[in-house]
Amino acid sequence: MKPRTWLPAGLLCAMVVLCLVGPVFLPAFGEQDLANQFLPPLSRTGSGLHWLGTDALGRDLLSRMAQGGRLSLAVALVASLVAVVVGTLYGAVSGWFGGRLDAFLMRVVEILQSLPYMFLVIVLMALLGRNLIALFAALGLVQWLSIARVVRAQVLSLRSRDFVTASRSLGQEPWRIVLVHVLPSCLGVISVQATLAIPQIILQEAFLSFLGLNASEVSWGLLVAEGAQSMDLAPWLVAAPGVLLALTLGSLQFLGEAWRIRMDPRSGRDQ
Amino acid sequence: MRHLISRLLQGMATFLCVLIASFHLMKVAPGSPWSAERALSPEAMQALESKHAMHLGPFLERVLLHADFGPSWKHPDQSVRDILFQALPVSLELGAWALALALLVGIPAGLFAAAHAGRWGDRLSMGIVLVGVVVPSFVIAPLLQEWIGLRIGVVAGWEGPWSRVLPVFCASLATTTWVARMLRAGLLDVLSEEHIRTARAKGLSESVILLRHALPAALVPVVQMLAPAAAGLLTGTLVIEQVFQVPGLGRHFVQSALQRDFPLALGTLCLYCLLLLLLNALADMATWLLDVRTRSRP
Repeated sequence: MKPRTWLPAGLLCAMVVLCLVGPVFLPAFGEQDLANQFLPPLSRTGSGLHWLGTDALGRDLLSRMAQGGRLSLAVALVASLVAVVVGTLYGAVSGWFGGRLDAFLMRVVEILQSLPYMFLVIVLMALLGRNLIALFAALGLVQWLSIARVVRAQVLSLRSRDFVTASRSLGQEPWRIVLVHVLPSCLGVISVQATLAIPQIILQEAFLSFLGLNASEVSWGLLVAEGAQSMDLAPWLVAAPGVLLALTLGSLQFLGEAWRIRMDPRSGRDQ
Repeated sequence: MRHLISRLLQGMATFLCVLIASFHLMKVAPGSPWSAERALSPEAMQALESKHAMHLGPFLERVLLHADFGPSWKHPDQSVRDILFQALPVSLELGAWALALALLVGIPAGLFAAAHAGRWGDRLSMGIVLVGVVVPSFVIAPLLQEWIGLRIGVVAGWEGPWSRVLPVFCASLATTTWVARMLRAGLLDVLSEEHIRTARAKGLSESVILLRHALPAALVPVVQMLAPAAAGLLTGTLVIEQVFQVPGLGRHFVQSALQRDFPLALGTLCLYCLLLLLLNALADMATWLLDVRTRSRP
């Protein structure tokens, strides 16, 4: 493996470990301590060593970041699952049945793609309030369109292949053919689209949190927004979550690109 | 031509769908702008609600025929139209400058990278522009404001040329990256084609080949990408306007949605939607003009 693959993979693993086992070894996880506001990084208090200092309410920044990372991970997983399920079903139906239905369904996708999505999501989040499920669904529903298109193209090209004709002539029901024979061959393109969608989803969640539309939980975007308010006192409150967010996004981006190149049969050269 | 007309009709249908859908969304949404303030008597509440009751038919008529969204609920003395027309030029200016800067930096960066493909010049310039994808604007904007803006004494806001430098720069970052990457990939594609080999065999200099023969064809994907890029720019201005306190559309949009000032929120949403559809149409037309190959397609 090349360093451009294992370096981001290692960074991501470290991030996941920090988020999952953070509460075990970090001091006073998320507790307020008004005696110790805005401590600089690497300062020590009664509750332990604060690696990245404390925020306006004396909470340990590193543990807040671990907490926020959990939300980012959860959103990324659930929202990309929503996108994959909806997009795959839609694309499979469209590509399998073809004809007028296909033309209609693809026209709908085209129209949806020209919508100002982030604006609709913002309105939705503002109106529905701090609702985690709404957040998952809204972010997932932004991403399913490209998956539907890719799956549809793949199903369309697989439909006339010999193994599909064979199982059709054996009297298999259509939904079984699609589910058992066609969709497994689409897993490659679906996985590529999903890995490319994950950093987008994390970024969008952070973006919404920054605007004040967060889902009642602490998240990286919220930490950056809070830090920005006390920036002259404690610049590390913006810098640390920002750097973590950037590292995560960059790693996911690199891994997604590497995965795409690997799964693309046409790409012989390394771009 | 038929293609353009059908796209236009499709755009209008989309706009109508957004208008109706968001209207109903706001109607069924819980809460009203008055529920947050001091408790009102039930009679007063009812009077307010019947005064501001909205019905789809008259609403559509007013919006489509007169572009009139009525007065804002939070600021009853101002009409939504006045608020929007005050804020729109600011946002447009910010977006236009950011787009210009993105093209001005992104195109040379893409050219430079493609000319040095695979060598250190490529890695360096692509590494620098990668910052635009990886570092979100809402992280870099407050940091720059603190470290540069306040140090050299530029106040946030939108007065005078100097206060515009940082917002425009931050808004342009992500788009710059996309322009540079798309252009580089497009150039590499074109450079491996036959007519480029012929040009090389003819003894043309590498810069003439790159600028005269490869660039026009490689610009097609970049232009096609400009519509989504403009959408990204518009979304980005929401954050930029908040951080740098630019009095544009973005602040009204988030504020009005949070305060349930429905006429203002609907108006801003419609304006954004219209802008996006317009940009889509422009990008379509530019692609059509730039690349002869797409013209023959129905």
